[in-house]
Amino acid sequence: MISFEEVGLRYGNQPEVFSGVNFTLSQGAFYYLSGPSGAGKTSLIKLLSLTQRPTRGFIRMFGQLIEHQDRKSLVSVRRKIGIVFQDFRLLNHLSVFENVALPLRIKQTNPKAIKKNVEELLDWVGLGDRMHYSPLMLSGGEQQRVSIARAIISQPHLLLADEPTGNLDQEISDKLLKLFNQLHRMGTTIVMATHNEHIIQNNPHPILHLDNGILTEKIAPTFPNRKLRKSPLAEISETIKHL
Amino acid sequence: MFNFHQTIPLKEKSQDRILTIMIALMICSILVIECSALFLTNLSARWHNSVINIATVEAPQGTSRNTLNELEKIFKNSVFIDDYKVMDEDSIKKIIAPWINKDLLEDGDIPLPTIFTLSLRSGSSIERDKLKFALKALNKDIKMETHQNWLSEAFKRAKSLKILAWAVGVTLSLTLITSLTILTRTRVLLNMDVLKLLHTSGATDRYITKQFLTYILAIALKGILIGGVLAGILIYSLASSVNSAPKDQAFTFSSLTQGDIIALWLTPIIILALMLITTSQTVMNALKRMI
Repeated sequence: MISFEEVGLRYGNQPEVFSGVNFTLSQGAFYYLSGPSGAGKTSLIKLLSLTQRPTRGFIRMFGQLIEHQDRKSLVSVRRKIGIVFQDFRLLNHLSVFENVALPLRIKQTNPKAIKKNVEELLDWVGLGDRMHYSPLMLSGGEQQRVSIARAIISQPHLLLADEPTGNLDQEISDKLLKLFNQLHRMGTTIVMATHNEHIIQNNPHPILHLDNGILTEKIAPTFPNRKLRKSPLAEISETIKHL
Repeated sequence: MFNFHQTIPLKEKSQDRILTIMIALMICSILVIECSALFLTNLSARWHNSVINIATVEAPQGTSRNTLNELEKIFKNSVFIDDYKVMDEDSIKKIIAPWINKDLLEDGDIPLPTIFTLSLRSGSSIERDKLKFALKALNKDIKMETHQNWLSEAFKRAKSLKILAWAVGVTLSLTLITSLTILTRTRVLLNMDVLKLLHTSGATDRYITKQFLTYILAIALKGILIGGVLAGILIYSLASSVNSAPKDQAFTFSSLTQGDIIALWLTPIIILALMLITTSQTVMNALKRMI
């Protein structure tokens, strides 16, 4: 689904943030992106979210070679990507409802469909009674829920999360990871940048590790073969409400 | 277009009010200046039409009856002259009154010339020169004035004033458009985080630009409407205050031709179109920096 071939990135005349990066993400994969601060995790997320072009190499996403695409064509690729930011990036001048509705408004979805889908998703994440609140009136965990709802409302093929637990306490971070695992089991491809060892230990997935500009792939410890007690959707709903 | 969903926080009540007032004042000034320039154009045209085919011939006091008869014969025979009239004494007195002592005029001690007013046919300067030559041949003191000199001087000045008025109008329009461009740039920079979020969420340039255009259009329309009404009131007041002037110099709305009124209507529309084009270009240029 996504492949990087000999990808390098440098800002201006600075030395390369990373060079010769190669990896492939298959559909439905869940990867952590780890590495010390300043290792280039955010830069790699920027490349994956198409907010930065590589200085060399090739990136192929959803069957399209990014270098060969003009700005207009990249729009359709971007719409297949959902992003969860560490600082949530909610629009405080809009209500919770409008924040979640944003990707659908951009796609010019029918207003009735927007209302139905957003209300359903907000109920699902346990914020149905706060849809007309300003994000400023919500707690950190609630804001992150809004951010996740916004990222998944348009059913993205790829979910990118840049340090999503960076501003959350351990308990909420664990619940967030539980939710990501459930979204992953539903078929969403997830790349999550984190340096939270606790999370990586407790939720084993393959790791893309960046250090000194070199990317190495670490195979995850055996994934615990948990039996789902309920349907994935029902389990997600239960998890997310506790975030 | 106004039902379009605004996701970028562009509205800021106090700044928007100032912007509306600025647009209103600029539009008002531009329309008043344009109206004055158009009026000046029409006034010049009216002067031209009313005096271009008129000439006066002045025979000094003491010119013999015979000479005057000869003079009239020349007028009758000239193909260049349509009609002629001898100006009566009262009219001559009225003309020279500003320069002559009133008592002297009433005493009748002032030697008054004989003045003929000629209606000329449109013709070449050769015809005019021929007539002048014939008059000189009859009596070297007879003078003919065709208004050509002072009229061309007056036209030159009117033209300079018109150019100045248009230049001020264009400068004001450009200032207005530049101010809006600066404002748009500022709003783009202030909302760069929102723009980036929209961009990464898959918003097209058109979707983002449309929000800026909707915002500018709403403010500009309000400003243009207020400015237009203000200009109308000002022009009307100006027209009322100069209505005591001689009929052909007075300014009334009927002084403007249909073309002038269309031009006055078109001006704010053109300015609005330019505002929208520059806004669109400014936003597009900022967005093009994002991949």
